[in-house]
Amino acid sequence: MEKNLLEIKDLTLNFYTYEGVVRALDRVNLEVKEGETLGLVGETGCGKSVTGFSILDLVPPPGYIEGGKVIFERKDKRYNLLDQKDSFLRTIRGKDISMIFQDPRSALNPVYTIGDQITEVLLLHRRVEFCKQVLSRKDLTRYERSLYMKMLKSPSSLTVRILSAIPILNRFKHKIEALARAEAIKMFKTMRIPDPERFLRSYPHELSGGMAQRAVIGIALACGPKILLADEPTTNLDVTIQLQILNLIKELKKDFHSSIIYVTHDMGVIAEVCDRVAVMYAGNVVEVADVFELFKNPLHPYTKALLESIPRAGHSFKSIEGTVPSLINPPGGCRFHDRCPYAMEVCIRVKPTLVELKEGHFVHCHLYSKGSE
Amino acid sequence: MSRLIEVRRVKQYYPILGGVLRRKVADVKAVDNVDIEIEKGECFGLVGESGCGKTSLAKTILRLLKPTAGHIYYDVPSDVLERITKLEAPEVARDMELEKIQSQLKVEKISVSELEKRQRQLKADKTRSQELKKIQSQLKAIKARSAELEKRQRQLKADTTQSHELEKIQVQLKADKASILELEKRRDQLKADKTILEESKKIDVQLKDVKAKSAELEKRRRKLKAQKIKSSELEKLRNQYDIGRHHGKKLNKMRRKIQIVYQDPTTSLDPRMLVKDIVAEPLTVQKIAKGTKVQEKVIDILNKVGLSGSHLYRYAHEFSGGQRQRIAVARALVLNPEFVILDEPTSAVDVSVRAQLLNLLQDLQKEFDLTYLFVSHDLSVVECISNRVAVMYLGKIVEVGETAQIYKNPLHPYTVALFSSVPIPDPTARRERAVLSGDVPSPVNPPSGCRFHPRCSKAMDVCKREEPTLVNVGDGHKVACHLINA
Repeated sequence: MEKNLLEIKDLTLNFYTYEGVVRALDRVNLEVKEGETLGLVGETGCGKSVTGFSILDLVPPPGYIEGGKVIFERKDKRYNLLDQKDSFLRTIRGKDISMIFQDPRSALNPVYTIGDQITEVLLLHRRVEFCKQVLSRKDLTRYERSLYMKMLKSPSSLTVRILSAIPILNRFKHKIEALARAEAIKMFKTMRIPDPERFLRSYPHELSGGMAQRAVIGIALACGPKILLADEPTTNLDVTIQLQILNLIKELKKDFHSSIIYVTHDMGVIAEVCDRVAVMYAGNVVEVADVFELFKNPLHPYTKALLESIPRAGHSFKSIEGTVPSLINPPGGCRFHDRCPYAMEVCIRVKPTLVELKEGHFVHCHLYSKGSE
Repeated sequence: MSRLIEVRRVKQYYPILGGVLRRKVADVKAVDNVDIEIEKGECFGLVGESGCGKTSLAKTILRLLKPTAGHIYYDVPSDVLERITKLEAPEVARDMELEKIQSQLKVEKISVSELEKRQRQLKADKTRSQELKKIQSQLKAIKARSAELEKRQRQLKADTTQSHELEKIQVQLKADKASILELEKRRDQLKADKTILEESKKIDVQLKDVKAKSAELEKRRRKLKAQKIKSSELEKLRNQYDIGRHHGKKLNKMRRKIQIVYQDPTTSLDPRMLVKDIVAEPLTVQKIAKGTKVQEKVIDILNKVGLSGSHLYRYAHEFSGGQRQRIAVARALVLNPEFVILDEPTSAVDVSVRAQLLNLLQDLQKEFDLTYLFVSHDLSVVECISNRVAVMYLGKIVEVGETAQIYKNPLHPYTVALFSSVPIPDPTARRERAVLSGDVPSPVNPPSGCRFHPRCSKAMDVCKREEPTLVNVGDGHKVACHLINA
């Protein structure tokens, strides 16, 4: 439980746009422990999704990672994911770390069935296992056996690739595809999807939003990832469907023992699913704490304001003055100082550091670091 | 408080076209027989899942869509409204009966098809009757043979010389007797087993009954449909007050009084128009102001929504999400309307800005004495801002009432499930919740009876057959559920 599975150290990321350099992430530090659910909250443009993308080195241009490390531990070896080659990252993406995107309809390919899309992941990451299973069968022809031997030795073997592109000749693949399909059906059965066979045959447009999101979750969990990045998986769904999906994620987490990084802007969802929360504001992590601690005892002025802006019956709406600053020319010092009711003179000049105030409760604010200085 | 809008039995169907000739093959019943009353000066919340028809209803009230059926009375003096209600009464009664008959017919149709299916199954089960026939023919053959044998035996008994043949015949006769006994036993068994036959007969009777009943219903339906209830006075009043019938200049004049703020300001504001033109457009369309007066009015309203004259010469994309929504609000309010429809005005903006916007809307409501229809799926926002709430499910209103009452004491199972699925921002309040299984059914072919019954945990037998009506349970709290009516 206590071991760090993923550590993000001083991650800095810029977007080079025509208007200027957008400083989207400014020395972000985070860690994900084994088996926990970490929530990332913040408003639009605070860098929460980009943090998720940069873990898998998927930041779209014109975004570039300027510095920092993303350290991932696999089989007792520590890798900095930002230094690795693409070929290595491809063995991690979808297998050790996988992602659920916000909009299931744009995350799924509209011209392939759900079955095609989930077997693609399974065949990519579990080819060796499936090849061995196929080879242990007795009814293989010599032609098939030789091809599967080749596939086992080198997955990107030229002969296999050429043959699988030719119709009729590529029938040898049916055996391994059938295995992957069976695995996919097993997966969707654990997700309690009615009639998984039919579900595999359907195209994304035939599914409702909730079912499509379930397909995406199934694809993400197909290879039993250690870390699941969920980027606002329920934002576009209705509350009743959202509850179904949240319950599903909670259950699957128990079954697969994965850690989850849950990106959202909804404090209600955070309270529902997370163990620890990191609050982000304008490219900075401003507070990290246990959920219970954060909701009971928020320390950073932004967190306080965010919690107060949740509408509650019988109270007037409390809002945060001003708007989120432009990150092209972010305010100096603490980026929240121009909206902060407690802003001091130091806040304008010096950027605060993330200080551990209590055990496991970190704050990024001068109000608290003053005492320790 | 007096009534501002009275929506009566409004239907909004979208046709589905199909075939080579693009003929109408079905209807999407987005709004189906909805009654709503909105008082002057209140904020009326309309909540429901996506696809339940809340936006369609809002657009129909705004008359961006012409209602398929039903009436929308806007700002009618109470005595006239009473008169209309009185005049409408026979028509309403007829419509109610028609509706009831139609739903009954639907149920009858289902039961007819079920019975016929069973009948076919029974008829297919022919093995029994075939066996009976076979046994009877066998019996006949054996009996004939043994009679012959007995005759021969009597002959032989007289003549003692052929004892060998006699013995043979006797053995044969004995065997035959045994097989006759056996066959007869089986025959009696089969004959006694009349249940299947009886069932089939019973089904025949039932079918006859049901068919007769549905024929009668059909007759009644035709009669009702042909029946013309016309009152020239009612027609006159309707032409005068029903927005659903307005057109041309009259409708255009109406539009001054009813305005809308859309969900997403990036798409509802023209990207190629300056703010001053966006906000001034309603004024020029309605020919309210000209020349320098327009500018004055625009600046005035921009100040009211928290923007200033310095924003006049900018495009919509230069603003943040919250400011853009303020521009949309300014455009809606520049005509000084009485009634504003807010169609999810806060779902496209951030949490911190959302509160600012809601505060602004509340202030403006007080200042301009506005009436709001607040359409949203964000239940916590609706709870804070509206006085009364209506919950919609699949084109129907399932529950209406005072906000506090509905949130504290929801009665319809759907409302209960909907409210309990809102995540509470408090980790100590994690709890077991009523999870609604499945998705919202298609509004093209909604379930019979209560539309919620396939997902309802408390569904009874009645729910499949009869559609519940909105029943007042006290203080204007109305629920459409058989659990309450019973």
